[in-house]
Amino acid sequence: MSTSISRRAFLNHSLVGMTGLTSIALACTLQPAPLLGHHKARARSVIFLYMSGGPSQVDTFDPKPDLAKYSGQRVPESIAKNVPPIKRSGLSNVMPSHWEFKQHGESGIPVSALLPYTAKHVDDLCVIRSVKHRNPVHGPGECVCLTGVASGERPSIGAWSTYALGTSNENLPSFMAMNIHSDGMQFPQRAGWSTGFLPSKHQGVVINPETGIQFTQLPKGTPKELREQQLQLLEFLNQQHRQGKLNSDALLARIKAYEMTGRMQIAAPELFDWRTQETDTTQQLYGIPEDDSHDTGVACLLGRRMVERGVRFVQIRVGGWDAHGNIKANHTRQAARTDKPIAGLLADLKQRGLFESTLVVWAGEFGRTPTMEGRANGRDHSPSGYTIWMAGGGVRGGQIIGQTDDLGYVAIDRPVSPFDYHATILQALGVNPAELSYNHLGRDETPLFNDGGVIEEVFG
Amino acid sequence: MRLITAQRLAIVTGLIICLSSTCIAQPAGELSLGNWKQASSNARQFFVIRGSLNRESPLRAPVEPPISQNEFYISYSLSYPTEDIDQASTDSGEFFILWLDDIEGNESSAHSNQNPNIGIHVDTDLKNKYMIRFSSAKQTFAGELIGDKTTKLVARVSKSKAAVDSPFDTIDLWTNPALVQRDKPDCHLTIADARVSTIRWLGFSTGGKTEITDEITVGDLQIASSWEELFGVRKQTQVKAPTPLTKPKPTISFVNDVVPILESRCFECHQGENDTGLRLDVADQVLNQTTPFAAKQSILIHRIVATDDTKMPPQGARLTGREVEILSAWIDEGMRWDESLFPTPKLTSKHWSFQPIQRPAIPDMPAYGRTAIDAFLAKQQAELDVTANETANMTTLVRRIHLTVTGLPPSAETIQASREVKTTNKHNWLDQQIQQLLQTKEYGEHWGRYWLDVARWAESNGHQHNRFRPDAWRYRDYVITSFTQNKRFDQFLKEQLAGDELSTEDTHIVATGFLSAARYSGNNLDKQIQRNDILVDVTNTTASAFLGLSMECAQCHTHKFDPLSIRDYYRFQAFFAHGQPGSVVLSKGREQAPQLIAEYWNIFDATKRRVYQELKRQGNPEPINVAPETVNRRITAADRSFYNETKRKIDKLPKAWGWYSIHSDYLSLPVAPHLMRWPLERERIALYDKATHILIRGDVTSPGPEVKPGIPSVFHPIAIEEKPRLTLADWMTAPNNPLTARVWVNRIWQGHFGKGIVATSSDFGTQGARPTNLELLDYLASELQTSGWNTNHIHQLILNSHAYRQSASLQKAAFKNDPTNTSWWGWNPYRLNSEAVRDAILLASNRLVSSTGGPSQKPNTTSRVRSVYLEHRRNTPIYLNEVFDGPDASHSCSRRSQSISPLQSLYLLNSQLTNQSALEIADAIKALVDSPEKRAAAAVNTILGRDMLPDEDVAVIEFLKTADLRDLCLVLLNSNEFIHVN
Repeated sequence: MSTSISRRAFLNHSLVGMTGLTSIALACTLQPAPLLGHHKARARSVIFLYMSGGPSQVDTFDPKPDLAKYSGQRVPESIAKNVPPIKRSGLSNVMPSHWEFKQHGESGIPVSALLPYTAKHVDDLCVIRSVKHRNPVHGPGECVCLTGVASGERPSIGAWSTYALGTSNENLPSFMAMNIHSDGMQFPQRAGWSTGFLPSKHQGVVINPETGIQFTQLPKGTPKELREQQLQLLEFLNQQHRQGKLNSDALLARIKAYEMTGRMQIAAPELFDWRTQETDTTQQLYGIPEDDSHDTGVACLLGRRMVERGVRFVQIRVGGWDAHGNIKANHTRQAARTDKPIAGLLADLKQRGLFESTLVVWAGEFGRTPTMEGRANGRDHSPSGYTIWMAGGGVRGGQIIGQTDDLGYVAIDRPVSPFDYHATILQALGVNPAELSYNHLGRDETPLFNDGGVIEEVFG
Repeated sequence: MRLITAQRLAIVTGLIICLSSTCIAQPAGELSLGNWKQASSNARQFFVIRGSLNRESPLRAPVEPPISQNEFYISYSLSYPTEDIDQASTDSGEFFILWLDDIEGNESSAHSNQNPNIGIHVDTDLKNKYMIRFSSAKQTFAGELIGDKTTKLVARVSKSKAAVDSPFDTIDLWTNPALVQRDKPDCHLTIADARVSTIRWLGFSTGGKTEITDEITVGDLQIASSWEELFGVRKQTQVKAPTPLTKPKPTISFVNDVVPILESRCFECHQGENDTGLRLDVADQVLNQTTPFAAKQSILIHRIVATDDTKMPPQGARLTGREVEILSAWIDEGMRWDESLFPTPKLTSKHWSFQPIQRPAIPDMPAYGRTAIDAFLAKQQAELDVTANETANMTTLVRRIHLTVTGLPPSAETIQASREVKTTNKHNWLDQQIQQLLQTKEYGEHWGRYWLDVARWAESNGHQHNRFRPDAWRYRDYVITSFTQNKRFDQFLKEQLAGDELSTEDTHIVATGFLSAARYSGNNLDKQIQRNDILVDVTNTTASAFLGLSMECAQCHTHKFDPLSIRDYYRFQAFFAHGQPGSVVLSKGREQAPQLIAEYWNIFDATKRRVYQELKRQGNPEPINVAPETVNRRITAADRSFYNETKRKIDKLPKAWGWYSIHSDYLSLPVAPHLMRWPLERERIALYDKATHILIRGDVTSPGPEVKPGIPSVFHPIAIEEKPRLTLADWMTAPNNPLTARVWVNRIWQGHFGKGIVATSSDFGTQGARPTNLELLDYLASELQTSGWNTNHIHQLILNSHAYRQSASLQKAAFKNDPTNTSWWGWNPYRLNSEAVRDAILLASNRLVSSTGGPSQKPNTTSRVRSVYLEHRRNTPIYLNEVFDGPDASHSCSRRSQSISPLQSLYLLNSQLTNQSALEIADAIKALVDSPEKRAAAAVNTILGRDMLPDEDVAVIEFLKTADLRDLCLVLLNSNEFIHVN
């Protein structure tokens, strides 16, 4: 690829629709795209830890002593006046946190007693306390979190990432998603790993951590040698069929896909074979032996194994954070499910030298109200000011960005939208989100939509 | 007529009965209740009444103000324990009444002296029944009293002679009525010698037949002036103007205060068509620069106070402090605008798709092919200096025609028949084949599926709960049938957009499944957001499906490229604002449904009120959210079995997942309850108040000015009539509409060639692709209109053309001059869609089972019906759809992608579907022929529909030396040839 082609032109060009006759398009889609960013990449891969249901910011990373001061009272008018008129957003009965906050690490970033393991890594975390959007409903909120829009019609951030950079391991899908603890009321939203208008090859492949990629097992009675023979005959027939035909590039691309299939059938089982390949110490680090943290532990360990093998985007969705009633029990359970595995992931990435090249993002679809919902000792949904964090991948750890009001209700300083953190993820991957575009129905679509920009401080 | 608003008999501390806005207090001591008691364990407002074997009438209440109008409705609920109901003999049986009178009387007054009584009494057949009467022993009966069931009694009490002083002499009685049963009372009674012309008192009485052990529960007393009021709906004729938003009282006058500033400081550059690209004399454009009710967030204010190079005006004096204050206050007060002073200019556009369809003359091209299509293409090809390919061979054509018309490969018999056709008769034979295929169900199934993509149809709600929609399949069948029967496209459009306005016929109601296919998230709060999401979906889908307009940009701002303003967007949305999706009962259930639905809600509501009051008593603050699931769980043991039975009966009613509005005939269209978290309105009355506002940045919490339904202003305006969506549909299918016919013929073209004449088949706007041949497109559009919107006519024009029948050969010369094949000089092979992949595999192994529709089949390894009949839920597509670009139904899909990925190959190589098929094909062949050569030839014939080619047989025979026939079949099922339209 000649460097005289501008990068934008290349990005546009190399991924035009697959049905066109332009041969350059097809030639490029067949190859693992080079790491062709706009600037030096900090990260090569992303692990997005999506906490479904909405973890409470004031019980995790955003301590608010005033919650105790106003306990049981109404939200003071000075704060209430900024709370958007969403029915969810109850203003009566402020509820203090059940967990004590302590400063940790050299940075002294406060983390609640709910997350003791994550707290040990606080100097690596960039805590963003001022994320906000307008949608307080789980399904649409999940779409906002992962695609930027409530309808979920736009590409997921994982799809944008693989569209921009392709894969660096052509034997595995470049975007894999795992949905853990999908119990309760919030079913995983397909939009979260869909491609929207991008070509569907960029779609996330949903993986069951226990069984791996579907259909990689040879059918009974088909030994490897026979499969080899079949593939040879198939290629011969396909080449015959293709000769002298229109659209032969697409036909050729399909031939190549069969070549990749053979390799994937070897690579995929190897990837999922953590039981024999990982030591007990490593498994313990992720909390895999414990019942509570087993599932998330396996997913996080697989996440590491995937990025180690060049997978671009790993999405781990942990359900169950929707604490309408009894937040104490709910968040205690969720912490038991996730705290150790996530801390283990951070530690493991570090000890294997993968931390700098892997961006880890932790986010829910929204946070929760500082007030009690009803009388049930829970908190309601609140998208007006909540916390996410990022680590690794060039992120400057040990810092806090943004601020909510004294009760943690509304972002009052440096508000950040989901489009902003999507832009930041792409930036970390070395892609300038404003220059990444895809021509869809005549419009040059960018991952920023009309909104959004890189949160520069994350790297500064 | 004087309205008496619905009041509830309310009991408050100290046993005060309150029946009007001026409550008349009666101290407890003065009211002897005997053994009647107020229910205390339960928050619902009701009494438990016991008998005494004597006349007892301790519960009396004044009616304030008294009623003397010609008719009114009164209702109460009543429940009688089964164990207390006598097996009546002549002298026993039950008795209980609500009486209406002009005098109060005392504890033992009979109140049956020519005044209205509504209650229960034993009939001559010795059954206890609901009844009405004016005096003892002159009862008229309704249905039998059923124990352990809360029954709502509704009576209309009226005067046959309308006068203040004439008596109430007529009663009609309904038990558990539904809204639509207004004209069907259970019983009716008029007497000659009625006494009471003004109702001043009412009360409940037991009698000599009421035993001490009888425990009668009554409550929920309501008085209403009309039937509709009793049900909480407004009469259809009373469409009330929507309530304006409460806005602060303006202190700023637009004309006197704001206009002078705009004129002196802004209009020099920003008025009329100007070079700045911004007009401040147009409301929509000003809206783009401001945030009404929030001056501080308004760009306009930022610019006039700026001091850097963004300042406005760029030169000259800054605006004075006072001027900034006025503009800020104007914005904070909602940015009032005077359209008459500064009207929104009509948008104009020179863009091709907004111009009238001109029927072009067929170009005079010698020897151009088979149909007029070829003449248009020949002209283009001549200009590009290319020539079309030769005709493809017969086997290719037979397979191609079957695949693009029906989505299925041809049968062995058809292939055999095609081999016997003489070369000279080839095209005529194919023409006949096409004509026959277009009549088949298989054609309807294949093309119906394309339309279902456009309609983003699915059988679940989407979003987090993603509940199943058990009746959505009817729309799928409707679409398939419409294609099979070659329904006129204008009629097809009309039924889908406005079926409920057309009639109450089942077909029309089912057709509105197009609108109701929208997703929604089930959430009891934030209903405004969710409702708006539905309207946005319906607006965008309607505009793109029929008009090829991508309106979604205009939702937040005036379209940057297309002549669509933000006002246009919301005017378009307003067509749908007074309606919503729902489970509408179809004709065969309409007789039975109203009663069942009313009974269902009766119990549901009573339970919900109870749970609500309990939660409130426990100190929960408002708003208290009582989820439907909770109500469902908390139905009392007494009501439970009846409730479940009612629910079961409702589930069995024939229903459609359709759309209804204040413009549909609501008295005839019962809507079944839908047990879920419900973001929509249950009471139709609420739909009257759904005004449409321009939403600033598309945000439902930032309403701007109100708008009425209207088509985009770039088109000649139309008057919106009583049935707004029908008006819209009529406009779309009018001969002068430039878009609808073009968009539809282009979709047909795309369905056959894999790509449209306009490549962006749902975007005919300025950002969409241009037609590769506008004359051809207009010719087809005009043919569609003049043939009476005959879809099959267009199919035949296309399928009979040389363009369609040419080969896929790559001519070097043509490729050089027209490399992207814009002049359709050759056939471009494309992959089968996900459904056709599965169907073709099943068919090849003779395992495909025909279906006549009906509820969808669960997609599992044993399902054998065509893919269009498999359950199509959002979020959880079948794996084939997942990897072969199936539609996810989150939004309208105008054209499937043609992605290529190793996951597809893995599926085709390793799945049970392909391996089982390969095995069965091989077994069938083995049973018929012996030699490897014959078996290989048979496999190629069965799977690819052709003979073995000379180059192939060596490789295939070699392969079979070590591999089994089924391994060969698997290879053939994986081949490009098999899964492409060649």
